[in-house]
Parts: sequence; structure tokens; C-alpha cells
Amino acid sequence: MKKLIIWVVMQFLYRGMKVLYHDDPRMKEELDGWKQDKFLTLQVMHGPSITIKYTYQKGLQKVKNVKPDICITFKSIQTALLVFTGMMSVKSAYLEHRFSLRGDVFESMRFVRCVDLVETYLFPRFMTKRILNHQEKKYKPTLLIYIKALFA
Amino acid sequence: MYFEFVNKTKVCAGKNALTQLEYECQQYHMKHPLILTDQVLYQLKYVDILTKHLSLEYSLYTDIPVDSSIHTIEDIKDFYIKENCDGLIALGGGSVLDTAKGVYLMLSQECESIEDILGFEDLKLGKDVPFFAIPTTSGTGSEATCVAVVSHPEKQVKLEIISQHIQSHVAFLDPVLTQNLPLKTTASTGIDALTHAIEAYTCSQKNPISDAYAILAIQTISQNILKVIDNPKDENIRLNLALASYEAGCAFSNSMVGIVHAIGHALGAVCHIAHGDAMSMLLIPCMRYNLEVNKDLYGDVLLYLGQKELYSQTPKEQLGQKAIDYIASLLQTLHEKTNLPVSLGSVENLSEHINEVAEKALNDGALIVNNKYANKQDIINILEGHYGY
Repeated sequence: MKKLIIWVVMQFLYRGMKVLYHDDPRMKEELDGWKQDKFLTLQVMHGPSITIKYTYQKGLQKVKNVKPDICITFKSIQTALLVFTGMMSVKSAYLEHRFSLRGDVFESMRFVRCVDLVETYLFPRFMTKRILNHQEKKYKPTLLIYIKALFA
Repeated sequence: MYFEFVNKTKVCAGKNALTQLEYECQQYHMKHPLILTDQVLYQLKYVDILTKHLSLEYSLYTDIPVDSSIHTIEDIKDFYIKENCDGLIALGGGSVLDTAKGVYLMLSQECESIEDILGFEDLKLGKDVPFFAIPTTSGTGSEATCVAVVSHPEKQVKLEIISQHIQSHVAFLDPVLTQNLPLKTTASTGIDALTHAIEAYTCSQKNPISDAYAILAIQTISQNILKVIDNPKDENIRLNLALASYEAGCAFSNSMVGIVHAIGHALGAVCHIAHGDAMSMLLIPCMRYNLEVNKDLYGDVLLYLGQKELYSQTPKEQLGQKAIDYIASLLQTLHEKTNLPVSLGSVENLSEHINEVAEKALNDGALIVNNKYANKQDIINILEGHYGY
């Protein structure tokens, strides 16, 4: 059950990022800041994973069987569940050594900020107030992002 | 609360620490080590100080530049294999030690490119390669840390590896190696260590064990940094500073640093400011920026700086500000005595590069553990002097 929840939220985060790339200039600015294509993997040890391809100035798509430039691995299902259900911030997970990262640490910071931004839209305010140490402005209504993420 | 703490390095500290070198080589089955250093230390015959205590055959690599790169690391790895060496002895400052860590990791992880092993906490225990660190400055604490930073000249970026498997097996802290450090370098590296300790004590990843190391480092530096300027040859003072640098290294290796380092790394990369100098310029403005969230922790720092009387006479809500004022006066004294640069105003053409520095600082891992959230504009404000120069 835990693995299923994590998998569902992973897909939703990906779809949210994909929508925000076109609907929020900050997401586009962050990802375009890499100035080149990138493969990113988000995985949980003994659990689900997702690999995303970012194509420079075009956007995001899901891919399989590629060697990622950046790979974030949560060290346990339990902690991953806390992060993916908005009970723990990415920052707290980092502070508590709950995940490892393979790839360029400097380049990964952009991805962390993108996750914060997508959480601002997708998680309710009472959750983001707890897990984010700053509140970003929303450029589009959350409902619209939800609908696009689900059906677009 | 959950935290992790790692420190596996054996420390040989004190007068004649280097006389233990041969014994430690034997303990680690080292029969033909590769000694790594830079040209300056080689010309100053620091290698002779070391090899005096070594009857083993050894190979020597002396061309590590100030801003070492992945190419230097890969060259040294090839040289190590060609010379059939069986261990590494790094003698030098931060650049030499970080380069040695890169070589050590490439050998132990048996990888072809350093870019294959970038990241944090991702590496598994590799092949055993004995690795000794012998610092010749008292600032970076690199002999104690789980971090290596090297530059990628083509990409013009710094690459970072953080792993529990990166620490040296043995560190030698011998005052003979720092007695002849120029006063300005002594001050600059001392402030680097102080910044490590203060940021370790006040950042989000702090923990009770890293706090203990950080407090000890702050106390030791405050007691010795002005004394060493007047008595640069004093072995006890030099040893105390070497120990403080090591302690601060243990602290920040486990708690990370903060905004001073995030901006300092960027300032070094873009404006080529020496790391210790960048710390001396940024410490006060960044502490002022953080004051509203770190007030109580900075108040504690005032006590650890040895200002018991001032601490007891100051109302609680003003303790943090008093700590900043005290450190500012310490920096001013060091500036007057050693010409240590303490003002961002002394960075040539900073205004032209502010945007680039801020952009790089924003992507520095140290920023994520700063207690106060900072965006690009906040960093620009610090660099523009909104929190004092």
C-alpha cells in the first residue's frame, strides 16, 4: 500500500511539474537554467521509481531505461512516504540524511526548488506552511493545475 | 530528532607528531606511498620535513595547483598506478587535501572519471587505499571532513563529493608545519575555521555532537587567534589553532555550513577571492542577515568567544547582536595587524559580477541548511552591502 501511494504521488508530482513548466515562469526558468537536456531519476530503495527527461526549453516527459544525470534515492519506504505525502519537507529529508544523491550537487539544487514549487500548488496550505520555510506566490489557481495535471 | 555523525580519522596531534608517520605507514601496510603536495611547499622544503621521518621508498607529485581540477586528480591517479604506489600522503592546504581525496576516491571506487562518483552519500565502501592527511594550514579542516570540492575548468563549476568513505585514515597535526605561515594567511585561515564552527553551530543540520566540536573550536580560536599574530612561532598556540581547525572540520562535516559558505564559494569561483578572505568579508554581513532567526544561537556564541562578563551584562535579546559586534571588532583588529581583507568593498568589479555570484550561491548545497531562507535577491542585498560592508 505504501509503495502504491508513493508511486501515485510520484506520477502526480511529475505531471504537476510538467504543467507548471508551461504555466509558471519560475518552473521554466529553473529547469531552463540547466541549459541542456537532463535525465532525472527519483527512486525509493526497494520501492517505486520514476525517470524524467527534461528537454532544453521544451519540457518534461517520462522515460525508461536510461542512465540518469541526477538520481535521488530515498533510503527507506517509511521516510519516502512522509515526504511524498507532505508530512516531511525535502529540506528536512536532506537534513536527516534520508536520501542519497548521485550527480552534480549544484545542479540538483534547481530540482529541489522545483519540487518545493510544485508542492506549493499541489499540497494544501496547512501542509506547505509546515514543510516549506517560505511561501511562494501562486500564478495560477491550484484547481486549474490539478485539472491539467489529471487530464492534460 | 534524528541525526547522523561520522568521524573515523585517527588524529596524531602535537609536537613531533610527524615522528609517528613511519609507524602509521607500517600499520596500514604502506610500503611505497605517493606524497602529494604543491610547488610552493616543495620549494619551501616541507617535503623534507616529512621525509625526514620516512625511511620507505616513496613517489612524489608536487604540481597540485591552487585551484585544483578534475584533470589534476585524473593525472595523479594515473601516476599512482604507474609508480605502483600503495597509499597516499597528502601534505598541504585545502587544495592539496581535496585533490588527494579525489584521487583516493577514484582509486578506492575504481572509477574512470571523477564525474561518475559525484553526489552525496551515494558511494559504497570501496577498495582499501591508505590515506593520510597532513595539513599545513589551520583553516580548512579538510583532514576531518567527508567533503571534497574540485573544479571542472571546462564547465567553470565546482564539483562536490560528500561521502562517509572520503575521510583520511590518519591526520597529523604538527605545529612545525604551521609555524612559518605568513600572518595574513594565519588570520585568513583562522577566520575560515571560526566561520566553519559558527555556521556549524547555527545551521539547520546541527546536532549535539557537532555542537560539541563547534563550541570547542570557537573557544580555542578566540583564545589563540590574536595571540598567534604576536607569537607566530609559539608551538602551543599553533597546535591549538590546528586542533581548532580539525574540530571545526569535524563539526561542519556533520552539520554542514550555511550562507557564508554558499556565497563564499561563489565569490571564489567568479571573482577568484581566496576562500579564507571571502569568509572574512562575508561573515559579518551574513550574520546580520541571519540575526532574526539565529539570535539565541549567536548569543551562545558570545559566551563561547570567552566574553563571559559582556554576556552577563547584556540583556538576553541583545546577546546575538553583541556577538556580531565582538566578531566585527576581532576582524578589524586582524585587518589592522595583518591586512586581512574584511570588506566586500575590496573585491574589484564585484558590482559587475553580483548577478553571477548570486546565481551560483543559490545553487550551493550549503544554502539549503541555512536557518533563514534566502532567495537570489537576498544574496544580492548582502553583496550590495545592505547588511554592512
